[in-house]
Amino acid sequence: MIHPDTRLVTIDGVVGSGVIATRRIPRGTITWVLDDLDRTFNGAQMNALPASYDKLIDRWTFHDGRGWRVLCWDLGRYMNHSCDPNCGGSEFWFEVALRDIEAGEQLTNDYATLYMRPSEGFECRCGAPTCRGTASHTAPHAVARVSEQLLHALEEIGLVAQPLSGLLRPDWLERAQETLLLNLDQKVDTHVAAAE
Amino acid sequence: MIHPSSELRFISQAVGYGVFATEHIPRGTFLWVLDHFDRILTPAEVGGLQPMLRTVVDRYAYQAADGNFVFCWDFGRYMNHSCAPTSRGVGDAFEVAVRDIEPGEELTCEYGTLNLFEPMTCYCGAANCRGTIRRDDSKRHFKIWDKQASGAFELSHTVEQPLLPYARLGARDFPLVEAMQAGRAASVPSSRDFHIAEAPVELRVAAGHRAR
Repeated sequence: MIHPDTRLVTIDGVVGSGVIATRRIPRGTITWVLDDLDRTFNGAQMNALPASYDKLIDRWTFHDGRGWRVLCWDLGRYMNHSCDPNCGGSEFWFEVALRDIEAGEQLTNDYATLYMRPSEGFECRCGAPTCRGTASHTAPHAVARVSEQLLHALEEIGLVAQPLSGLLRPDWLERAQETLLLNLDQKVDTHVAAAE
Repeated sequence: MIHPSSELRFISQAVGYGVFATEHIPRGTFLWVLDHFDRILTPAEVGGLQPMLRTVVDRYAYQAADGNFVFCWDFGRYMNHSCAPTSRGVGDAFEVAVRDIEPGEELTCEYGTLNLFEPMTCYCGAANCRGTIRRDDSKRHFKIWDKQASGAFELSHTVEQPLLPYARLGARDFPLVEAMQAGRAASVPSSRDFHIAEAPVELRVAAGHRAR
């Protein structure tokens, strides 16, 4: 379920719809949690879908990097890409605001963190100073940056209002923190190794 | 899945949202099909939902003939009721347009076949408005509903069916599609057969189901 202080709006003829904040959402706020009305499809379930569903899958679902395709029942599936996203964490089945999101601002993900299929790449017009021009399915530096921002945002999780906290399972949060810390340690180790 | 030539519009605080045609849609067209993205919940699963999600399901899901609840993943769940609806349910997977629909017209269906928990007051304004929509309305009205459904379904092979590739067919739907593709007359199941006498005991406390 997406944060209640959001609304679907038409962005323009090219982008289509997007999700904006109707009030300020501070950093560390849970903006989305996988819930029991969202659909999850494993590989076998995906293969069982008729071929006519291929385009719908590209358009409306994301991959969690752990073998599951996720289809959000609510506005979550309208979140657009940005090369400088303000939300992240979908691979852990919940998202948090990576920085303060102002009223009227779009909620965005970096689609490179959503394990896109190669067929899902597109020309990006996000307008961020760090825009990569083409949103392709691999962007390791961008993904690492989101992970780092996410780790810091999670430190604020107990300090801000959390309308979605009832849906967040404690083990999901623990898993996210452990995984992100581990990744950071490995990165530090790599840097140290490179320096030596 | 709702027909691609439609859009969601906010109607009013009292009614909420509704689905409106954006292009001409001829009689016989499937306005909605049950698809593989729709969520199907058993009564036990509905009973176990967190309160935030239960509210959503109570308002937007319907109870199918097999007793399970269907929660549409797309704008199909915002279709309102009318006592003179634009479509009738056929089989388990189809809503078929019973008249030509013009751009800007609201797409409506019949909640009397959706096994409502509680009677619903109707303000549809149709000349034949029943005033109150009840769980067992099909017992009283099935003849006219079935006639409209059969008449419209006979035209289904003569019009474009953009939703057919997405339909999730049940046992009662396969013969319908076979007949349709062969251009034969199909024996459309009666709307009476979709009525379930009692709401599941564990869910009866729920109120305000699909209030318009």
